[in-house]
Amino acid sequence: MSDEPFFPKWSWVNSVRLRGAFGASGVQPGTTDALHFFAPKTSNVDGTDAAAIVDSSLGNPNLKPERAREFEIGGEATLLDNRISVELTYYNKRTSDALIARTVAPSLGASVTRFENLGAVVNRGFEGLINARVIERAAFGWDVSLNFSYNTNFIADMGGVPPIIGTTTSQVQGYPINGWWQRPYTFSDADGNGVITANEITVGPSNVFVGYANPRWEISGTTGFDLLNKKLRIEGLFDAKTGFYQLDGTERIRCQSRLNCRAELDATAPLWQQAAVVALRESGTTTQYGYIERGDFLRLREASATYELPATVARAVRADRLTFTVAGRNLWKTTKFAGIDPEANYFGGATGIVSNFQTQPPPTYWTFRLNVAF
Amino acid sequence: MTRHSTHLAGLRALGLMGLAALWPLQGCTHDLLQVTNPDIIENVNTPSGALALKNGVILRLEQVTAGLGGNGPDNLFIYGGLLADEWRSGDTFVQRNDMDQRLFDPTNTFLAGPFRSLNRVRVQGQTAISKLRQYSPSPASNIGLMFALTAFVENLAGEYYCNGIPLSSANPDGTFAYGDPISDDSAFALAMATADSALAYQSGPDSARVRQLALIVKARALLNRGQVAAAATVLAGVATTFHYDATYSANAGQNELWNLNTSIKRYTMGDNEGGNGLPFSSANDPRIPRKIGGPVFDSATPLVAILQGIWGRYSSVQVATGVEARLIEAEAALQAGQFTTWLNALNALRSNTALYPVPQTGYTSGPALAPLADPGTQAARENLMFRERAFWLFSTGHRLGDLRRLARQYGRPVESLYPTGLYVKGGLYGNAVSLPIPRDEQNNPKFVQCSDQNP
Repeated sequence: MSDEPFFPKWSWVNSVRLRGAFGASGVQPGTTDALHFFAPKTSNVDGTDAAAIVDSSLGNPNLKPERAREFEIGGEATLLDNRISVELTYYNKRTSDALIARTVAPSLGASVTRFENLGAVVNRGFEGLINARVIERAAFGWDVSLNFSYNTNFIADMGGVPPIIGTTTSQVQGYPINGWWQRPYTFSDADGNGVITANEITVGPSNVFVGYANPRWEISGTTGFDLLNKKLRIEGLFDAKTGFYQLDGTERIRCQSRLNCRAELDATAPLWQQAAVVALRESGTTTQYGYIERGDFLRLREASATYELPATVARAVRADRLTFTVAGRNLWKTTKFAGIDPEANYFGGATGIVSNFQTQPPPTYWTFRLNVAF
Repeated sequence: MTRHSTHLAGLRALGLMGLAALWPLQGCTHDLLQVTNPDIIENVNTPSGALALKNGVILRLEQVTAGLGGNGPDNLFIYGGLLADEWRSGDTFVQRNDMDQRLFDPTNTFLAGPFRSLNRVRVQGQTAISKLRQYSPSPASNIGLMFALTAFVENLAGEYYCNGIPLSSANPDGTFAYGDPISDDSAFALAMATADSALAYQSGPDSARVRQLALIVKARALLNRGQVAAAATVLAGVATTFHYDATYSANAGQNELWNLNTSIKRYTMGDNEGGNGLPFSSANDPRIPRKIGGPVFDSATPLVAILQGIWGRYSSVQVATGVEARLIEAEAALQAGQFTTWLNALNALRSNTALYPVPQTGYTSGPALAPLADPGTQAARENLMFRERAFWLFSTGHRLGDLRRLARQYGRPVESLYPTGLYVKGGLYGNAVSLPIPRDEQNNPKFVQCSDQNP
């Protein structure tokens, strides 16, 4: 666009581009997802094994392919003698007839789930990228890169399907996919003795939406310094994710079953921790509400230093170039999440739900690398 | 110009020949897309399909009673016994601890499996009945058996679950016919009607067995409705030695009472649990062989594992018996004030050592039972009556219903029946008297929660 005659000619703008795109795609159900069928089994009939069949899949004759259409608009610009580049994209994706494995009411005496088409799911948000070479000298350089995205996800239309209720997550129209839902509670240390008891807790009558299971903001920043005539490069990568909640399943099981969490053993435990245990174990309407916490964090994902050894050293081993790198991963984080780590995910990426359950956090580790170029 | 026309004509001819060559393929297209998937069965509209469906219902009954109860190994017999005083949790799973602690929690994730399995017997029983009638109507006793097993689980639903039980089914067009929640008493009434249907299908070599099973189920439902005299009348044709078994094998699935208790010790036998529980182990009763088996699964649980010796890995479980019939008759006599008849009925069973279970190898069985004496008061007689039922029918799906009957029909305070006081893993016992309908049922738009938690 900056090449067009109408565009102002500013010395600090090198180029500006606008772009837009529209696309559509589909996802087919599995080959047997629509079929009602039976499965062969072995039954023991009066002491003798016999061929049997049992209902295996309810099927759904009305099952349709999932269809998605998406448009995006965005732009790119390079500024200040190409030392800064900026990209920004807005996207809006609407998935119609989204395929979802719906929990089937047990009273139907059938399979646990069946595939149904959810009316529509919307994902919209924006993504951005800023690269800047802040200082660029022969002996010294400093560059910064910032990558960020924001997403809003919600079920726009259930397509006539009633809300799908899970133990801790549910699918409800107007709310995000896999959102956390629990009965809330309030508490008050009415007698002022520093100990929360069941009569000092009030549990709400029904589930409420607690929050997103997936981050809404994801921000990744990299900064690097070139030192010693650019023989040494020091780089750091920061990750931040916000706007989501995680179920602290590890603490929940310790409090609910193992009975070895602090709130069970220590009378001086914070009142909110005591309240979470009482609501979980003694309220009569057990709720995991107290263990679903904001998972926002900022983490130093990686720090590294790379040094190019002197040419004489390289030649001594008949190489053209020798570089040595030391890098550390997951070195530091800050978060208000009380569990072991807001990224410790029991479910992996399979469900999109972040929930730890005696899961190890991302490990801290160091790597040392020597690159030899001939 | 002429050469060009000739060239075009040649191309047209080639195209027509190509179309002609492809023409037969259109007939293949439909067949090509109709690939048979050998892993699934869509058509059961055959005599063998109907019989296989019948066997499938038998499998489902084996699962919900004492087999793999649902998504996990917990079936109704052992999970209900956890809420009552038959079994205790020696486990790390909070779902078992909570049930043992009598916490009424619909979000307990172990609830959905047994409830789904119970309904699988019912729903697939209805399918089997329809297909047997259509494709394999003889012997009729097969249809009678399906009705009897359906009645059996309808009655169990009323005994185990809180009031407000939804019973749903899927329509042939793929839509769901959600059931309105019904009371426990309505479930018993439904079981009686279904048992009557079973009694209408009597011809065939299995008819005597099916008839006795249906009569016991009907009498049990009558008993649950407080019509004990009518229940006793129903049972006249049932032999004391009769039993209908859920059977197990390596291929069909193992006995999970054995697995969860004897093998992996996640359950341990109850013994005076929570003060009110019966001494199932320390009574040294020949009806419940047992032994001490070291620590329970969860080392944090201060309990030793008491292992039952009635069942081995593939042992069958008697789900309806002539002993149960005699016990119902005895209870009718007790309620009628015929104390001698009542006591004689109990003692006739106790003196028949052939009715005792054969202990598994290495298990201790108590000496033959001595005759009972009349304890003299009505309350003591009722206690004795229910104690006899508890020992004869240990972990066969009767105890929870009996505790509820004691509260509902005999006016006993709940807290004098169920385990109470301090729970072994901390906190106090809760107040549950029945299983909640699992939270997954909220995917049924007609269901919100139990209408009440009364016994």
